[in-house]
Amino acid sequence: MTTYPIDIKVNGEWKQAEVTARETLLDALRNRLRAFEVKDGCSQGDCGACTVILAGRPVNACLTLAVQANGKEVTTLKGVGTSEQPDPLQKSFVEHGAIQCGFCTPGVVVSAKALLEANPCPNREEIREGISGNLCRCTGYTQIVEAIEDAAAQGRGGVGEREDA
Amino acid sequence: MGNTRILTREFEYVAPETMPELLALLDRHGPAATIIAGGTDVVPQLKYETISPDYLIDVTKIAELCTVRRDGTLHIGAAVKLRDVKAYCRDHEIYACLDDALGSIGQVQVVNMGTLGGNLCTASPAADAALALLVLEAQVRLIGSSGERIVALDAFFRGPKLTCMEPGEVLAEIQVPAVADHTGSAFRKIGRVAGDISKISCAVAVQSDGERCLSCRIGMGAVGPTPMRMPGVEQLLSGRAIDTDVMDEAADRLAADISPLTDARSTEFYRRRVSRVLFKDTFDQAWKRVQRQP
Ligand SMILES: Cc1cc2nc3c(=O)[nH]c(=O)nc-3n(C[C@H](O)[C@H](O)[C@H](O)COP(=O)(O)OP(=O)(O)OC[C@H]3O[C@@H](n4cnc5c(N)ncnc54)[C@H](O)[C@@H]3O)c2cc1C
Ligand code: FES
Ligand code: FES
Repeated sequence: MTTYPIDIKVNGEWKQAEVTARETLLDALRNRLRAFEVKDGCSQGDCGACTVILAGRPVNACLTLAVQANGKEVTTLKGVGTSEQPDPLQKSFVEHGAIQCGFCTPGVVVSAKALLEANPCPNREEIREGISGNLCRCTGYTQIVEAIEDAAAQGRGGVGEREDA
Repeated sequence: MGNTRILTREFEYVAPETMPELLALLDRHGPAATIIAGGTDVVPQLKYETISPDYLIDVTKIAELCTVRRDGTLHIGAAVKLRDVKAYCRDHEIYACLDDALGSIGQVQVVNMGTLGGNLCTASPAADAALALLVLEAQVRLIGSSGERIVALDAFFRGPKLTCMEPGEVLAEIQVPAVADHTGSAFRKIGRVAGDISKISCAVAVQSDGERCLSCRIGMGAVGPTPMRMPGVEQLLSGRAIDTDVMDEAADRLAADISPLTDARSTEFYRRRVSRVLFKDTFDQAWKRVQRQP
């Protein structure tokens, strides 16, 4: 069985792992690098629970092979913000009740973060498009869209001040 | 649906950086090798065990497969991401139907990962970019160790999951010829929910003098074994002044010419009925786009 050494920069820190070709990035992140904030929903690209930002773009970790991520930068939910130091986007999710069971949340927040980085002032249409690859079975999306809208408004010094951690 | 959690089979992964290396690998491993680009079709297939390669060959590290250039003809490397093709089309309105098609793929993540070459080589009757490229009369450049050839896209597709590529051949680039003046194009699809895989899709490119259709290309997806051109309807419309009677006649012809099936996504009855409406709407949008041009 051939194994492949990979280097991935996870949330700013270079990590090494020895993986087989048949491991997905999702497997490697959860099982080898203990990044349990990356969720395994459908494992076939439909739900977006496993979304991470790979080389600047949100992708499904369940459809990416770990070997394909070699040498690249990965941002997971914890790279957006942690319980101790949440990103304004995460605070906005809490304030808007955009989290119910929470299973989709890591993926949605990562997609939303990537959206706001590329487009700091998205309109509703653009927000919906930005999270189009993320299914949420609880909230009905309304609160999620509002949370992102509000975080974007705060980011540009609109409603409320941005609290930089 | 079977297992999606793990890839049960061991295989080796190789990522060549040049075309000669890639071709040598394909020759050496023959049917034991499968190409992977964005992986959005290949990885699920590995999980469902519908393919079982010993070697997975990643083509995305080959620089010449990852470039876009234009010299009248637009050359898009097979491994260019759908997202980058979409960004290019956004800035070049003449490729409007390709822009529509890429915009209709719901998941941002899939657009970020998937490649244009992958969308063609998968040879799904429902592949969206493939249908738009068909009415843009795109060609593909195929390279094998014994040489290269250029094939028109409608000859490239041979059936569901089947292309004219020989063992050892790779799709290197997609060539979109210059679009004639006074041409407008559009793509529309119907899915279960917005952004879903097509139940039916339609692409139209029409050249008009403001009143008459001078020439047109019409493509239908998910209503036959491959994305299909509709030559009967194209001929019927060419040279005609466009009004509702002519469009009704064309829609009747279209519904007669398609060969839809009943499958998990839709029924034959539905597809035949709704194709008429989808075609008229798509044609109308392409038509409006020509009228808007200076
Ligand atoms: C959740 C989800 C939603 C989707 N929605 C849509 C949709 O709405 N519309 C749509 O059209 N598609 C959709 N797809 C299908 C898929 O994403 C696209 O077809 C995509 O363009 C495939 O590209 P890829 O690079 O990921 O292909 P891969 O999976 O890497 O490859 C696909 C096939 O092409 C072969 N191949 C790839 N590149 C080459 C090459 N250069 N030369 C020879 N063979 C090659 C591979 O061996 C494989 O057989 C969806 C997929 C998923 C998972
Ligand atoms: S777990 Fe990856 S998309 Fe559902
Ligand atoms: S909060 Fe439960 S799935 Fe989104």
